[in-house]
Amino acid sequence: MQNDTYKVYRKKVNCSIDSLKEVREFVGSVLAQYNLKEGDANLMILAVDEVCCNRMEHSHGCNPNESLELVIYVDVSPRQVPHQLIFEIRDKGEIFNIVDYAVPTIEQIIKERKRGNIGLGLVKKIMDKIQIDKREGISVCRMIKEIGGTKAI
Amino acid sequence: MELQITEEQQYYIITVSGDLDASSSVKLDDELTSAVEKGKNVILIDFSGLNYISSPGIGVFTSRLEDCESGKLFLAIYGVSDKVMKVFKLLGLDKLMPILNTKDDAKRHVQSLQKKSKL
Repeated sequence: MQNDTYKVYRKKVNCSIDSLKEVREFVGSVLAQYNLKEGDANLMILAVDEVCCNRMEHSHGCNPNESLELVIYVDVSPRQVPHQLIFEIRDKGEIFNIVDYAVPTIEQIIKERKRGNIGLGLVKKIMDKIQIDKREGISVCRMIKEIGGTKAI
Repeated sequence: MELQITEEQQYYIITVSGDLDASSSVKLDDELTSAVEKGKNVILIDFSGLNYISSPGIGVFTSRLEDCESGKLFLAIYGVSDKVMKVFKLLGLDKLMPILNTKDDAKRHVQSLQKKSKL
């Protein structure tokens, strides 16, 4: 990541699901600085919430003594319209391959009376690219949103 | 998130306000389970005060839609904001869930389902 061309925002939260409100407030406060449609910003907040929730529950057992780091990169200065926003969720938990994860249809989820498996489908519908990476013990889920991209938000 | 319960004739109305996320959805799920256990199977959900919903909140409903299909549960949601509706639409749930505009619409919807189930 070329940090010199991006404005970078960082936040560390603990892995209790009660911290999700803090996650949403942080992402919302960053996005509010830019010239984005409210609806677009709300869906980006939702996608970050979903990935953080997934990491907290499945890679950290909601342990409040463990943490996630959120990093947001924006390619323009505040008050401008970004072309690209990058959201990274970094932690020391086991990596999960969200990229290859086959999302069930909503009809399957209903038929099987499931309450899970919905969030990652939402993330894939909202974000233009998702990448995963593990280096030096740190798992990174990177979500890229192109404003005016192909995803319908 | 806050829940408020009111009963009007046969209708068990749950008013949800605030954020329905992974942390708070358990409370709504427990309330629905408890209502059905008490024999309250005609349930209206008032979402007019709901500010935010994420997948665990949606899961509270997807796990029960088969019970609605089989006539065990009569459920309708009303008062959904544009912001929350956008999430339902993204999943295609706006066509699969009983989402109505007003409380009266929701009552009429449930009444028509009850009539069909008696046929």
